[in-house]
Amino acid sequence: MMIVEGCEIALMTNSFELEESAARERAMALVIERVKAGDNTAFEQIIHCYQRKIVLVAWRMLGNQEDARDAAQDTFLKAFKYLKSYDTRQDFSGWLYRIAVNSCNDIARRRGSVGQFTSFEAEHAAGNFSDLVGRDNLEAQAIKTQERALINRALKSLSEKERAAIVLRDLEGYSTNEVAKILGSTQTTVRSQISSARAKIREFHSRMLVSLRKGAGEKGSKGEF
Amino acid sequence: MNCHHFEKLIPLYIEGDLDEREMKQVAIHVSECHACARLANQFNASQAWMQTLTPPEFNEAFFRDLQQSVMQEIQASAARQTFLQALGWRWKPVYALAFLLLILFGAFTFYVFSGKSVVKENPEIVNRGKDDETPQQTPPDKPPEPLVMPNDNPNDKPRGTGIAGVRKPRVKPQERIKLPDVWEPQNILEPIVTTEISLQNPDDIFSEEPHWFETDFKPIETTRIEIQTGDPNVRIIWFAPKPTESPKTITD
Repeated sequence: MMIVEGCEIALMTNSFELEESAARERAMALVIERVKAGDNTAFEQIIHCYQRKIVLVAWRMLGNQEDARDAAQDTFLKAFKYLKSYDTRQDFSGWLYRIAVNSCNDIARRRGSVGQFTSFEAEHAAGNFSDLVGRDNLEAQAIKTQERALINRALKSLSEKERAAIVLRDLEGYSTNEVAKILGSTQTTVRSQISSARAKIREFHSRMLVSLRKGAGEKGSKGEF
Repeated sequence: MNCHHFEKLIPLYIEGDLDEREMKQVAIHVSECHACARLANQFNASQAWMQTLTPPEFNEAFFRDLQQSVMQEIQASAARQTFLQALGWRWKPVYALAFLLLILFGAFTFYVFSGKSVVKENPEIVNRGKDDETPQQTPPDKPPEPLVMPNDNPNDKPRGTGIAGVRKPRVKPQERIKLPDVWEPQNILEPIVTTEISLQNPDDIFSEEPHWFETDFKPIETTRIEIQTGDPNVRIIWFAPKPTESPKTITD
């Protein structure tokens, strides 16, 4: 439980201080050794420690809960399968994120499209708004869902590598050096991908604003773009 | 530096992804250039907009279900252990063993086939049992060693015919006399004598190295003499000048 709590604290604060990172790595190394020795139940601790992060990354990459869940499940299954060949000298979270990014790309290719945003009705049917009370809250959530859909659509316009780079850098908060390690690339390449991705997002955002202004000019209705 | 150069750096500048020197340069340029400043503001706005992407609230049931499904799949895969895995089958030693067997098989094959190629093929063995329809396919018979008389000077160069003044005839393979299908063994003491002019060009009969007792270079008629030995594969052929005067004996 100490390992699990340590993971949760580190995840909540999103802190990459050396001491916490080193302690987390040491604790994770012990768990990995137990899994390699054949203790499958120890793998539950790994899942519990990283599932939120992996699901969030998958959701940002894919745009909907169902695909994010499939990607997360696929990620942990692959992690278990290849844990024997995992080199303990490398960063475990980076290794896990790389598996997650590859799983997301595989699912995106299989589905044929990325960012199939979940509509407000679908999320409502899933019970995601069951805690909300009142019409205003529902309306706010509807707007939020719509915004989410637009952003997912902007991310959909990026290539796989650009999307992975910008999600890890701008949404997850990793440095370019860490992103490069996760993606197995160089810092120069990652910077190039990030620059290109941000330019595309800006272009998308500009067109969206122009479209909104046009729609606002046409008797207050939002225009499509 | 112009605006085109800074436009490429601004996407990285807004999030601090440049080195210190470049950050200063861009900051100075943005403060002086209105177009680049506007561009930087647009990038900031789009970044802020993108970072409002907040994920939905994933409840505990979602994560519990995810964890259970992963563990169930792991346990199911362990139960689905194949027969080979149950035997302790490990792929790496198997690959190494298979590779070793492949090398041994290759070495054995090379040894077998290289041994066959070392043996020089005997044409007779090759052609044995085959119909000799085209004489060209069979290598020409090796001309038999000429008879060396006891009184002959051993220093003399061996002559193809044994008769002075006669040039060694050029027997082309195509001009060989075809043997009859039925060959009856002949007494070695009864040579087969045929009379013919074997050469068309009279000049051809002249020896390149005339013998010491030659005085004239005249075309002469030759007699083809064949002697079949007891071995049907061995036959002695030579061309003797047609005797016009009293024939010279062998002892002469």
